[in-house]
Amino acid sequence: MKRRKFFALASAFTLSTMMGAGSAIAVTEGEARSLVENVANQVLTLIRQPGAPQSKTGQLKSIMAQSVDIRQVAGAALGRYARGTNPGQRDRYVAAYEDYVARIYANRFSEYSGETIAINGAQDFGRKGVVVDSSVNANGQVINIKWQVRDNRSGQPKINDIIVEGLSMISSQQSEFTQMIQDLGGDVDAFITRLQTLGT
Amino acid sequence: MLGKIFGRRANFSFAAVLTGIMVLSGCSNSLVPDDGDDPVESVNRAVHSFNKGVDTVALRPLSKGYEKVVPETFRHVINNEVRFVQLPVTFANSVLQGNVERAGDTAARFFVNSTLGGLGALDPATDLGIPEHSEDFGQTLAVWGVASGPYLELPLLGPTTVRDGLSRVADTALNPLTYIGQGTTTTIAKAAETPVRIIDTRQRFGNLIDEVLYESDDSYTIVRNTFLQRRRNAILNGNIDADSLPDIYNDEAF
Repeated sequence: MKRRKFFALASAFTLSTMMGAGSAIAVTEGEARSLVENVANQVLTLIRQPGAPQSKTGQLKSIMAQSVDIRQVAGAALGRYARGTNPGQRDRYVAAYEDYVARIYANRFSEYSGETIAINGAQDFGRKGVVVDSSVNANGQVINIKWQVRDNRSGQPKINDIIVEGLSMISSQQSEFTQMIQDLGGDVDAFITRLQTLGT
Repeated sequence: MLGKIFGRRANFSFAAVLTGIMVLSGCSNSLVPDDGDDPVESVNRAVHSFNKGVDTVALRPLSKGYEKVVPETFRHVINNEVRFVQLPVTFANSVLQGNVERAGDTAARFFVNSTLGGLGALDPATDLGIPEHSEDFGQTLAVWGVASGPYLELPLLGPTTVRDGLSRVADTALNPLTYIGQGTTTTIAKAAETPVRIIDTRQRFGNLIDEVLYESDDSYTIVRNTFLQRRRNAILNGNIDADSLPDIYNDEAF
């Protein structure tokens, strides 16, 4: 009886230590939520600013640089072609990718002006991070946006993916980019050149 | 009861369609295929070129004309009606999926908008905070575990899968509005429903559709990927499944 009690206590202790250690290395729902709130507010402030879309791409890039693991996101968007690239190609591609994303979103934002965002909740997906659920009210239309937040390799929470009305940015880009590279006969350099003008 | 509403013929066609879907969608075993699962891609691409041509010469100019000629208030009413006539389909499919909450929301929405909203012309249900859902028989079959079958792009009807394409017949059979009403006005309204819905959608998503069709390098791939992602989202009622979340740290550091 005593021994059984001891084992029960010991395993409960081990379990709680393990769980404690687990939550120490992974992003919590609260951290993910405040990261998203912070980024969303910066973006909404940027949208409200007067000025042409092109004048906002720089600020959008600096918001992304601090909150999104843009290099790994760019790599994921390259899909099966990511592995075969050399360091020089990677650097040029990441730079072109950052400009492309900032350009696309700045253009899209120009259609909006008085948006508000409400955070609805957060769900923990373990290894795949925390998904924060939000609703953006844009011109009377409610748009659902989900944000996948995960610790980067140095343990800092970063946005990985943005899912707008069920459309994952990474999935959409991966499908578009890999098809483009395939049509270019696998020529990643030609693809980077094309990416620099895509959406201009 | 159901037999009385739908009639014998509807019951027969419903069973036939269901069997057809079960057999044909057995080819692929996932609820939503991924991009690579497109065995009839060359045929689909030919149909896509045709559809894009139809958009260039007809849909795009028509939707631009619609935007120019019809005042915004009236277009708003049209959009309310387009969504209103789909409510019975959403209700029936929510019931078939055993989703009591969505069935209740949809019944409440139908009641409020058919009375206070003047047969769907206005949308007071949204102002009252009654959630809006969209369920169809393709989603119901997915919930029942029926695989999607290959991806298809159909002439004029656009992107779908074997399961979801055939399910459209079932949705027409499931909608009581199919069976009610006689006379010229009703006949015209029924015949106009699909074209009106298409122009309404083309106009509301105008910029986005233009961007995909005319400013991308390969619109076929983007349409397919967008459709499949939206379909998964509809089947999951907006929830996320862990498998479809990207894993950007899976590979070596980029």
